Amino acid sequence: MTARMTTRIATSLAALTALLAGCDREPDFQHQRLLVFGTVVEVSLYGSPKGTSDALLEDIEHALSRRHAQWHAWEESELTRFNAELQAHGEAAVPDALAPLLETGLSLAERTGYRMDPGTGKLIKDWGFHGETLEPDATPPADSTIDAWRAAPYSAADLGRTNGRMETTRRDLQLDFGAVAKGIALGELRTMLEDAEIEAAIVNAGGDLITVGQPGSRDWAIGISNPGGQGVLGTLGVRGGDAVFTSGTYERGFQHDGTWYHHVLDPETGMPADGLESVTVIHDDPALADAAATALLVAGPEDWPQVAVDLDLRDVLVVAPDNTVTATAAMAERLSLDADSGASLEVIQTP
Amino acid sequence: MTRVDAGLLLGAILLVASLYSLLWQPGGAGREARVSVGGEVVTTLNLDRDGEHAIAGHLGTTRLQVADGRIRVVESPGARQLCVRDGWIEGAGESTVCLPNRVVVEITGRPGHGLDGKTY
Repeated sequence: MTARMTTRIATSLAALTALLAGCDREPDFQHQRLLVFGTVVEVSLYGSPKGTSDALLEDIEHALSRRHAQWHAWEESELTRFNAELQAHGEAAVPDALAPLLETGLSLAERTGYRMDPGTGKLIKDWGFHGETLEPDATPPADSTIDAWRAAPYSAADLGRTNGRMETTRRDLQLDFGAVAKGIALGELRTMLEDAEIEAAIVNAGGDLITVGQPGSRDWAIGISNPGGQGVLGTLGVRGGDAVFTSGTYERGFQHDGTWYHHVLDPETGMPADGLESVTVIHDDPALADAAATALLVAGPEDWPQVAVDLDLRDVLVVAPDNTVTATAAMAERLSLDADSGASLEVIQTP
Repeated sequence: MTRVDAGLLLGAILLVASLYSLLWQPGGAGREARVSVGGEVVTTLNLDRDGEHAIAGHLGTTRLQVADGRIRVVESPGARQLCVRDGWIEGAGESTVCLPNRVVVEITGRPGHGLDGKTY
């Protein structure tokens, strides 16, 4: 065989290999599952970041573990130390580690009309929702405990802020940012992914997601878990940069005397929020999406559309106990309902 | 062209064919489910073989069912029952996690054009 022929075969081989590689429409893909932030975090990376994917995954895990340790509401953390100091002195300096949590969390609480209220730590504790696992024989708090809460509820609105310090006249106020901490942490994570110049990425932290870029030319396809049963209600088309957060009554709670008591508490009544099964919010600000999902679930079937307007939300989907799905017009456009889900869709127009 | 040339050419064609099957993995249905406990793979289940499987996790037993090329968690210890609620999974890259029991069920292969994630 001549050298020319060998070269020709080699060239054809190279061309064929390149052609086959080119068939793949989506860039390199890497997936990793992390057990951090008290939940399962699924990270999918498309394309190659600045540095290596492994280094980026390590940074992600480190960043989330750090925030989890600093912001934990009942285990020894910067936050529990801050709560203890408020209790002892009625005022405390805000440590750097808590600054983003307090800054963003408190301002979002105010914007939701304190339907999402980080001042409800004591109520959450009274209900037994501090702790990784729930006792199988859990019971709701005594009526007297709920009455005492209703008579004088604690609220983050009772906090005063001056020059990097916070003060309160109600020293037993216990801050718990469980309804917004994940959103704030994922917001920080998205900045990290953008800085790494990754082509596209999606991070799913226990059912709440952030996205960066898009996989190829298509939208991200995100399933909405069916609150009433198995599988998905439908699929949402999500653009790069959007965050998707869901707050649901089925996520955590306990059964007592035939009643399901769940973990999303209404600060006004001291009881689990009533009337909706789940709320899904899409917004480019993960912290706002997180806070809003909780606030709308607390607002309930009558009031959620107005609260959505107050928060300038365009993309909201709520599921009622009878499996009726109500979506804003913008959200309905992204949604394709699963035929097997048995759900019916109602679209509402919001300004 | 000598016999040696013909042999080489045939070899080259076979090489390309094998490269094709090696490198070209379209997304879509995966045919195996990988089951791990606490990060360690404990078994790989063929999704074409219907049956029930018991997996020993950190808290107790997670029971899996394979049928019609799909797999689901039928029972698992844990307060939230998220993996049971996930229902059937069948697409490559899809997974369900029973966190309290540290059991992960994952369909092998690169995700196709199914879901990129699920919100709950």
